[in-house]
Formats: sequence, structure tokens, C-alpha cells
Amino acid sequence: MAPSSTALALCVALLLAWKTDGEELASPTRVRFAAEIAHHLLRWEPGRNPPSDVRYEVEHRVYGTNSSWTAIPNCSKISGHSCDLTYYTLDPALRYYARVRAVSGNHTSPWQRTNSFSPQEASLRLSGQTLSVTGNTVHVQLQLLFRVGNLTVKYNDIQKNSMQYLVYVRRAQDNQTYEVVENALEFNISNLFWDMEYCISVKPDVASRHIHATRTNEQCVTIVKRDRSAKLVLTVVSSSFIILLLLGLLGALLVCTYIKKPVRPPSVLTFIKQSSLWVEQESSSSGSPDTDPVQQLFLCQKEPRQHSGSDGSTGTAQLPLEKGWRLPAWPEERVCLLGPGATRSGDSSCTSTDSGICLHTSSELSCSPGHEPQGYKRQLPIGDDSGVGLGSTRPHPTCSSGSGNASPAEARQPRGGELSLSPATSQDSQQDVEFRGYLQQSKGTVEPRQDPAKGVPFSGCAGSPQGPGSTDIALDVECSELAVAKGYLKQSSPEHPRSHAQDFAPWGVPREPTAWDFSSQVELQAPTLLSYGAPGAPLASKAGPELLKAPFDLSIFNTDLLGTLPLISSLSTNEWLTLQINPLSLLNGDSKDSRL
Amino acid sequence: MKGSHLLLYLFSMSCWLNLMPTAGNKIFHFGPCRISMSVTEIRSGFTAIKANIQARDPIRTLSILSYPHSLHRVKSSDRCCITHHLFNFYVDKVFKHCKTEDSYVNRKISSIANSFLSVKRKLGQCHEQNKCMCGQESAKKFKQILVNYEGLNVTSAAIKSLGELDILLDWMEKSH
Repeated sequence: MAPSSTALALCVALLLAWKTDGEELASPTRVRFAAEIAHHLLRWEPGRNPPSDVRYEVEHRVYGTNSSWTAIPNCSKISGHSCDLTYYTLDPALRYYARVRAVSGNHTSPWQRTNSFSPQEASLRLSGQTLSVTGNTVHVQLQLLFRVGNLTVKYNDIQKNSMQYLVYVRRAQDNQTYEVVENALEFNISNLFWDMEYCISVKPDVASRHIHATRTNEQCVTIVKRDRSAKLVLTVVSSSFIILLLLGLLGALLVCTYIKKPVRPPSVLTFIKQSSLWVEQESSSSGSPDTDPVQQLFLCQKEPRQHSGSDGSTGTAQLPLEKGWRLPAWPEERVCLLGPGATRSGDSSCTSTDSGICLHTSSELSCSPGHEPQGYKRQLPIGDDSGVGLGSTRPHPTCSSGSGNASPAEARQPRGGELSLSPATSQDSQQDVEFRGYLQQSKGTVEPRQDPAKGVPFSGCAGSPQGPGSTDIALDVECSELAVAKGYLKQSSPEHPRSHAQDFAPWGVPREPTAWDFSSQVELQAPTLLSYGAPGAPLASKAGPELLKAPFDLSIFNTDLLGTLPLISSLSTNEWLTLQINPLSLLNGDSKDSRL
Repeated sequence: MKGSHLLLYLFSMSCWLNLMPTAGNKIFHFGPCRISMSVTEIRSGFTAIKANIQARDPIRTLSILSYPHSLHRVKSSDRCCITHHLFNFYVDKVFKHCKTEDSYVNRKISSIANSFLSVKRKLGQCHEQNKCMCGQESAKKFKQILVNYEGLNVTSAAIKSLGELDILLDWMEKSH
């Protein structure tokens, strides 16, 4: 009994003591931070049975430092239930604690501490927005600055990463709201209805964490009725201007299209022209060889006949050549562009029978400069040359001057149909000149086709300067001596019997000169090359298919070949072309150049 | 024809969408090392238990991760190295000592630990590929963290470290 009674007494005593310890002041409850951006509020609830004169004290500290609790001056002995701690808790990298206790008279309650608080936990809010209306677009600018005491706090200081803004657009008349998500601080809301009032509010958001956010206050704007008249006027003016511009362009285009520059007639036609001229000249000059105006285009098939007659051997050679040479594209008729005048008395080339372009044989090769206007002059001075003769034997020297230059050039040029007329002149003189392919003969006449690159005004086979290279070569050859005066006269070394002026198909035809040449040449060459084992071997291969076209009389070439070999080597442009040419030249021998 | 076009469109859209980081998945750039991490998931798990965990930590004068030395004022070149060390530290030393009596809390801690494990693996790969170079400065800072940790007993240190997870996440997000 004694122990129990003792215990009881003790308990009562303790109880009394406890009670008399005073009304232990109840500490505030629910002490927490209710913070917004730049407004960190500490809130609490009063404890149980608070006395009427209860006051509260607030302290704070920084987590992790040695610092002790610091009292907040503004919140000392206050009666309210909240305290603004923004100023003291601004560093977003630090963590803060706050504690509150109740004070009443001499009694104080125990401290009640908050959980740790970081400014980045504060709920999001913006300070406001600025709206401006343009047409039916609203430009929104977000305000981020907060004023804390005498400090200015920017939203970005606290929340830096992955910020988003939800924009709520509400139509005033029917309360219809739609949301827009923006990432920038300034943005536009467009395509709003005219003559309508809209209210806009913005809510910020952070993508990486779930955090509470507050919408800004709504701000309303009105979009006025569209000013149609001004727009209409503007539209009309601008569209009319555009239409005028387009019309102007169209007019310019039409003008350009229909007012053309005079187009140069194709070479064939020029041949004709020249041949006509030539013919005139011829007639006037009584067909003296001097005139040797335009070579008659090789078109004139008849020439070979004539040539053959004249040249005998060459003719034979020519004939096959002709066949081989003649481009399939060349219709015979075409060839005789030169027209009747082409006939030449002495030369087989441009006999009247020739349809057109006939090369005058040597006789005409006078190469008189006076005859320039006529297309290509045939260089072959030698009448007996069939035409496509290599310039070798041409006796007439006249065109030599021109030809001299021309020959190399000629070789180059003529490509294509036009070139073919290599000035015979050059060729003739060249006889020594290597066979450059077709020499355009007309020294004077040669068209301006001189290959500018060459720089040599080839009178003769100036023909077309284009196509340096194979075609040229071919042409040169032709020029040299198409005895047959079909366009190009092949230039062969003098020794070559140009007898066979191959009837090159009218050069005028724009056929692939290379192919053509090759064919002709190849044929010629092949045998020669092979026999010589010259570098023409490749040619031979090439020539293969073509070679066979015309059965050549190798014998004819033999002599020529000898002469041509050096030519071949000398030919620089296209080896094989040149090679080819050589034989051609051989063939041509003194044939008349194809002159156009 | 139209069906195939539609199919192609859908396929390309799905591919494109897959390439986009999923919501909450952020790509952290630590120099040449790029880590994709689901920060939102970790944060939401932590927020649920934050008050509980932090209440268990009475010591306020000492912090393991933050002030005065550690995570503040870290150079950007050192960030990768320190992050790598920290994730290793958390997985090895913190999560296993944070057993509480509350099963809900334990579950949340486990999910956080799993996320940390995958990030730790990715950081290890970066380290092996020499994309995560450690300088002297970063070594010094991590040493300070360890010193702070070892100043307390194991459980308290573990709980405190767990409570400071938001400091770690904030620091990582600060300039990634």
C-alpha cells in the first residue's frame, strides 16, 4: 500500500506541477511556407487555447551553414498568423528553415519549425501581361519583374529552366475559351474574329516538375471592325500594279521573240548562196580557174564522175570514197547546192551538173582573194584533181598563203557540216602541209568560220571553227583536196595523189563530222595504217567497222600513205582522226577541196 | 496508293515521336556526354516522401551536398565528373542505408534508386568513352562531399543525403 500510495502521490504531484508549470503556451500549428514567386509567406495557425494576448515570433536560418537562427525584425511580436520572409530567402540555391513560437507575457511556446524551403518550390506566378492589338492580332508581352522591398526580383532568377506559358483566350460574348502554349516571353495571338472582345490570361509552367501556378489577371481587348475600304483600295492598287508589271514583261518577251536577230543561214545554204555568187563569178570570170570561187559543194555527186574522169585513178579512188564518205545523211540533191554555176570547166568539181556544192578543182584554185566571197574556195588549182585531192599536187599556189595558215587550222575546224569546206587554198599550198583533214579551200572566201581559237584565218577550210579536233581534222582533210570539190578538200601531203577526191558527202550536211570523217578516213586509213603499222592502229580498230564501207583501192594509197604518214604523226589534234584524215588526204590527193 | 501513303506518314510520325524525348525526359549535356534522364519521375517520387525524410534529419548545421563547398561554384567542365561520382555515391552508399519503417516510403525510395541506377550506368559508359574527364577541381569537391558524409554516422548521413536529393536535382537542372 505504501508504494502504491506513494506512486499516486507522485503522480498527482507531477500532475499538479505540470499544470502549475503554467499554461504552457501552445506553439503554433501548421507552420508552413505558402510561397509564391517573390512572395515567400510563412503561415501558421494558433495553438490550442491561445491566450488573448498571444504574440508570435519568427526566426529563420539557412540549411547547411553554421549560422544560427536569425530573428526576423518585421515579424517580432506580431499578432497576425503570417510573415513575409521573401527578403531573407531569395537565394534559389539555398535551403531555408523558419520557425515560429507563440509569446504571451512571460510565457513562450516551444518553437515549431517548418520543413526545408527552397525558393524554387514557390508556386509560379507572373507579375502581369501587356496587350496590344494590331488588326486581328494581339501582341502579348509578359511581365516578370517583382518588387520586394527595395529589390527587384526577376522571375527568371528563380525559375530558369524549361519555362512554358499557357495562354487562355476567352471570348467575351459566349465565354468560349481556348488555350495556347507558348515558350517565349513575347508572342502573338492571331486570327481572332473581327468585332469581338477577348480576355486573355497567362499561366506559367515548368516542364520538369509538378508545381503549382497561378494565372495572371484577365485582361480584355476589343478587336474593331475591319477597315475594309482601306484594304480594298490597297488590294486594288497592288493588284493592278502587279498586272501591269506582268503585262510589261510579257510585252518585252514578245518583242524579244519576234524581233530576232538575223540568223545565219546554215552552212549548206551558205554554200548555196556562195555558190550562186560563185556561179555568178564564174560565169563572169568565164570559169577561169582563178575564180575558183566557192567550191562547189561536194554535194554534187556528179563531180566524182567528173573527177574520175579527170583524175582517173583518183576518180576510182574517189568513187569508193564517195560511197564511203558520203554521209548517209546526205542526200545527193543536197549536195548540189552550189547550183549550176558550180560547174567548172576544167574542174570536175563544180561542174554544172553538180547539184550544188562542187569543189572546183585545181583550176579554180586560183584562190584569188577576189573570190573570197564565195564560200570555200577550192584550192585545188589543179584541174585534174578530182577535188578531194590532197593538197599535194596542186599546182596552184595562189591560195597557198591562205592555205598555209589555214591548213592547220583547217584541220581543226570543220566539224559539222559547215566546216567541211576547207579552204582549198591552204591546202594546196600545203601540200606539204600535213594532211590536216579537210582543208577549207577558199582562202578568201572562207567563211568566217575560222576557228577563232586557231587564230588563223583560214581562208580555206576555215569553215567551221568549231569542233576542233576530229571534226576539224576531217574537215581539213576535205578541204585539202576534195578534188571532187565536194565541200572539203582533204589535205594530204602533196605527194598523195589526190586523185580521189572523195566525194565527201556534202559537207554541208551537218552530220557528225567525226563519224563521217572517220568512216571515210578510216576506210582510207585502215588499209594504210595497217600496212604501215603506224600509230594508226587504234584507228584501225575504230575504223574497222567503217573501214569496210568503201572498198578502197589500196594501191592508190600506197604512195599516199607514205606521204601521209608523216602527216599523221604531225597531226596533233586527234591522233586518230588525223590519221584518218591522212588517208583521206591521200585520197584527195589533189582532189579539189571541197569548197563550199 | 493512298493507303500506302497514309501508312508511310504514320510510320514516319511514330518514328519522329519516338525520337522526341518523352515528357519529363530531359537530355542532359555534360560536355560531350549526353544523358537522357526522367527528372519528373524522380522529382515526383521524392516530393511524396520529402517531408517525411527531412523530418528525420535533425541536423541543420551540416549539409552534405550544398554549401559551403560542394555543389556551388562548380565549373562546367567538372560537372560531368562530379555527377558521375555523385550517382555512384548515392547508389552505393545512400539508398541501401535508408530503410525506414514506412513501407510506402520504402517503395518510393526503391523507385528513386532504380532511376539512379540507370543514370549511373549511362554515366559510366560516358566515363569509359573518355567523355567525362575528371579534373583536379572536381576531385577536390567530391572529396569534400565524402568528408561531410563521413562526419556523421551511417544512417544519419544516409537519411540526410536522401533528404538533399532535391538539391542535387536542382543543381543538375540548373545549367544542363
